Amino acid sequence: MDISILLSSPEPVYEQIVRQVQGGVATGLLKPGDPLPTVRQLAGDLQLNRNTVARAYKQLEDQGVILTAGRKGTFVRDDAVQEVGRLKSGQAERVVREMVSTLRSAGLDAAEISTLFNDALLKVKP
Amino acid sequence: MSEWIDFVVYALEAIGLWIVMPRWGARMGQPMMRDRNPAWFDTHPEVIASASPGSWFMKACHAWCGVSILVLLAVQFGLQPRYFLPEALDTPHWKILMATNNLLIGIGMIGYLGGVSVFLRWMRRNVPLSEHRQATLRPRKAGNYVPRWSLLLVNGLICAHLLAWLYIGVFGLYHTPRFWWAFAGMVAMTALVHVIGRVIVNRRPDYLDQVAAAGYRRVEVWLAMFLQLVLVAFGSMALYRLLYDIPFQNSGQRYSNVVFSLFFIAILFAVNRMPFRPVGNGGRPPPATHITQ
Repeated sequence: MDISILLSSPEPVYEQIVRQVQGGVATGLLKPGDPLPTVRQLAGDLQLNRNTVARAYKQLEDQGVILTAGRKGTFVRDDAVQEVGRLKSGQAERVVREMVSTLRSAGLDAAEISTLFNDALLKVKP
Repeated sequence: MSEWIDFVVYALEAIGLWIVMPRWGARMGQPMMRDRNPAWFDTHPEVIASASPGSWFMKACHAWCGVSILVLLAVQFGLQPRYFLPEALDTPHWKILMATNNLLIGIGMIGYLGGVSVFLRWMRRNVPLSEHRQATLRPRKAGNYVPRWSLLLVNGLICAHLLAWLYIGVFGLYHTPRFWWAFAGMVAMTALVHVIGRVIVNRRPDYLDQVAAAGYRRVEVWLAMFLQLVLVAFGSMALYRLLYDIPFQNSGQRYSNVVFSLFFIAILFAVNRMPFRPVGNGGRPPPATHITQ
């Protein structure tokens, strides 16, 4: 799997790496147990500071997506798919909560918000 | 008569180094710029044109080739430079020829690397790094390029070679006080060659992979392994000499130098014949990976 980064993007570079690794796991391009390149290799290939890549790897490790096994290297964790699923559910829940909160503060009641969501679900195709 | 063979080899080496190598290097200029920033490369043809390898550089290389051959010819005809005197009176002619050749190569290399560094500095100043970058998430290992058995074989030979040195050293089987110095040198050389191998594998996919034929890095990895084997072979011969206190034969130095020069010439000419892919692909980032399994 390849990843690409855009330096001019408003999204920080390390987050672009995190997002693409998560995406790879979610879509099955990265399978549990797959090895990942070393920080040095990825930083060299992307011509980035090693700290940037190390930060991305640290975040992925904290999220339970990858596992660093000393000199053996870095691998996708066995339960990475579930972890990425949990992360995505958590993110979706946060977005929905924020939206509901915004709509409530705009004066809409539960029935109106529910109708709006149902309409959106029907209109927005996957 | 045989010194003429040395002369011909050194003259060929001068042609390889100062005509073939600069020509090949000049062809790398545009791919290097494109590798740094493909989008910029496609939109700045005027800067690219102005940065084409300076003719002064090529002329200087060709001139140095001519000077080298003339100096070697002069030495061959007995016009030995003053700096070899008075030692030159007792020095064999082939040795003066070899030393002159090494000196000419050394001076030329300093000039060549100076020219390359001028170009690199210009490129870093004028060609911005690409905003869009791409990389593979597959780790690069030597095993991706060469069979695993070959790696095991070479690493096994290196370990056995160093262990043989240690065994002879620890049990005092050597007959020369220079043994441990030679061992230290061998360890340092082994480490250096190992680092070269690591650098080749870890090198990011760059212009070399884009312009050269597919599998270029595989050739590089094989060459690094060959270098390791050559080191083991030379180390074993040196160990044999140290073990039996056999003095280093002058003729051995001469022939190994000529053989090394021939090997180097073969590499230079082979690399020059390597097919080139055209540069420019519409500003897309370079391919991220060239690993083939």
